[in-house]
Amino acid sequence: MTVGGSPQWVAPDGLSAAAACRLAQRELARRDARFFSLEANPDDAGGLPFRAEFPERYVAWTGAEASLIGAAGGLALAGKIPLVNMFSARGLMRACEQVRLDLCYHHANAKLFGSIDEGPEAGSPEGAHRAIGDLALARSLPNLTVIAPADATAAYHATLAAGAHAGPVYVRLARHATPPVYGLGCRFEIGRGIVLRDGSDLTLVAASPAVVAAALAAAELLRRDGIDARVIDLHTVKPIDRALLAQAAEETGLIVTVEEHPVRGGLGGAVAEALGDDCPVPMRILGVPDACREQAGTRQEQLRRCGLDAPGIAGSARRALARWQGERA
Amino acid sequence: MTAQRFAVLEEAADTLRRHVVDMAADAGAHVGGSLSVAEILAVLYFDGVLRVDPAQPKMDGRDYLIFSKGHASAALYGALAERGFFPVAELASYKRMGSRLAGHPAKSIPGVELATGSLGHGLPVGNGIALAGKHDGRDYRVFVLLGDGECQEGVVWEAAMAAAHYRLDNLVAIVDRNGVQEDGPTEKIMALEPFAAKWRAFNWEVREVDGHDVAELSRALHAVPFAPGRPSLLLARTVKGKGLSFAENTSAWHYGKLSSEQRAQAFAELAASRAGQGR
Repeated sequence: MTVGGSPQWVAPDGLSAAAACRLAQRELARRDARFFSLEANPDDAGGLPFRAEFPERYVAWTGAEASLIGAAGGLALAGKIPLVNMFSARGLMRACEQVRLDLCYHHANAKLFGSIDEGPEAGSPEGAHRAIGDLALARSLPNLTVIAPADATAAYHATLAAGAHAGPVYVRLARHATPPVYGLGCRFEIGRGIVLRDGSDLTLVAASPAVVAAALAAAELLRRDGIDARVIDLHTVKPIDRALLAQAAEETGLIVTVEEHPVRGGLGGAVAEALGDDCPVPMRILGVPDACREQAGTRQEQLRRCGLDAPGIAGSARRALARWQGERA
Repeated sequence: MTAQRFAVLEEAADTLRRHVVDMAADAGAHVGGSLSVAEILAVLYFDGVLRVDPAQPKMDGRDYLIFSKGHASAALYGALAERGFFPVAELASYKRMGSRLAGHPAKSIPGVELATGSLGHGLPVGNGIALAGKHDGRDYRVFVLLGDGECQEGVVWEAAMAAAHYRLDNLVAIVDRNGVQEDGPTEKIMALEPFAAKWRAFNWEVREVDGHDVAELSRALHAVPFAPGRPSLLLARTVKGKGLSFAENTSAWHYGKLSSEQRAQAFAELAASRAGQGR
C-alpha cells in the first residue's frame, strides 16, 4: 500500500476537516480492500463518498457507539482496518471503555475520526454534543496515537497517514469549515510537529482546527508590537514531538499553548509534561476555562469569549512575555 | 458409540471442574461461574464443535470463541490446557506474579481471542468478526459465551440488535443461565425473565437446553445456525457452582478461595459424582 498521500492535495474553500477526512477515507479504500467504514455520524456535511463507492464495505450503525467500537475491534481482529466516523462525545467518551479495551489494549488497527462539534454552529463549548475534553481522555489511553489536524487540508493528509499507521489512532475533527492553514505541499508526518513561522521571542504551540489559524494571526499582531513569535502546529498530541518542543524552549524561552480544549489535560498538559522533563521554561496554557457555561452563541463567538481568537491569544502572549521579562529583570 | 462419546465429554467436564477446584484453592477464583460452564466448554472443545488447532492458535479460517464471561477464566484455562494450547502444568501458575494466566484472560494466552472480564465486551466484538466473515464469504463461526448477569449490560442488547439486523447467522451466543449473579439471584437483583422471549424479540433464533447435559449441548451446538439468516442463541440452563454442594446456587461462591478442607470435600464430591455416573 502507498504510504501517505500527494502533498499536492489541497482542500477546496469551505470544506470542513471532517469532510476532507471523508475524501481521504475513500482514497484509502481505493488503495486497500481491508478498509471498512463504520458510521455513527451519517449526517456529515461532507456527504458519504465511501458509501457511494464501496457500499459493501460500509457498515451503518447510527449511534449505539459502545457496540460499534466493539465491532470495530472485531473487524480488526479479523484483519480489516475499520475507519469509524463518530461524534467524539459519544464514540470516544460514551464508549471510552470499549476504545480502551477492545481497541487500545489489543493494539487494534482501527482509526477513530471524531468530530468535536455537533453542527456548523455548535453553541456553547460545553454544550451537549461538544467533546472538547477529548484530548485529555484520548491521550490517557495506552497505544493510542492522537492527532488534531489544523485544517481541512491537514485532515486529509492526517487521515492517509493514520491509515498507513499500524495500530489505533484517534483523529480530532471539526464538522464546520475553519480557516485554511495549509496550501500546496502539506507534508504531514505523525509525531512530527510543523514550524509554521519562525520566531525568537516566544513560541505559540497550537493544535486542531480554528486555533492554529488563530495562533498564526496572533503572531502577526504580535509582530506589530515588535514581538517575534514562533508558531508550531503540534498536530500529533501523542506521541508528542519532544525534540521540536525542546528546541523551541531553548531558543525562545516562553511557550504559550493554544487549544480548543479545557486547560487541564490537553495539549498544554502534554507540552508541560514533555518540557518538564526535557527543558523547563515558563509556560502559559490557553484553553477553555474549567467551568461549564450555558450561554448560546456561535463557535467563533465562544472562542472569542475564551480568549482563543487572534486578539485574545496575542494579548495573553504579550502579558505572559512581559511578566516573564519582569521576573528576569 | 454415542454413549461412549458423551461419557468422554462428561469426563472432560469433570477434569475441568477439578482444575477449577485446584486454582480456586491455590489462588482464589470465580468458582460458581467456572463450574457452571464445564459441560459447555467440554462440548465446544472436545466434541469437534470448535474448529481450532492448538498448534496454530491464529490459524486462518478458525472458529472463534469469545469468552465474554472472562471472570470464569479458571474454566477456560483448564479447557485450553487440556486441549493442548499450553501445558496443563502451567495451570499451577494461575494468578501468580509473572504468569500469563491472569485472573481475567489476557490476549497473550494461546487460544484466547479477546481479553475479557469487563462485562459486555464479547458480543459486540463477535459481531465485528462475524461481519468480516460474511463480507469475505468465509465459513468460520463465532461463538460468544456470556454470563446471564452480564446480559444486564445495555451494550449486550445493542449488539443483539445489530447481529440480527446484519443477519449474522455465523454468530452463536451461548448464555450460561445459572440464575445467580455476584450479589444474589438475577431475578431479585435485576430480573432478566422472560429471557428467551427477549432474545426472540430481538430476532434471534433461540434454543434452550440443560447446560449440564452434554448430549443436549452437543446436539444443539452441532446444529448451528438454528435458522438461516439469523443469529443463534443457546440458552443453557445451569447450576451455579455445579458439583460442589456448598457452592451450588449461591452467590457466596461467586468468587472464593477454597480451604484445604473444602478442597478435599470438593474432590470427594466430584469423585462420588463420577462413581454415580458409572465410571
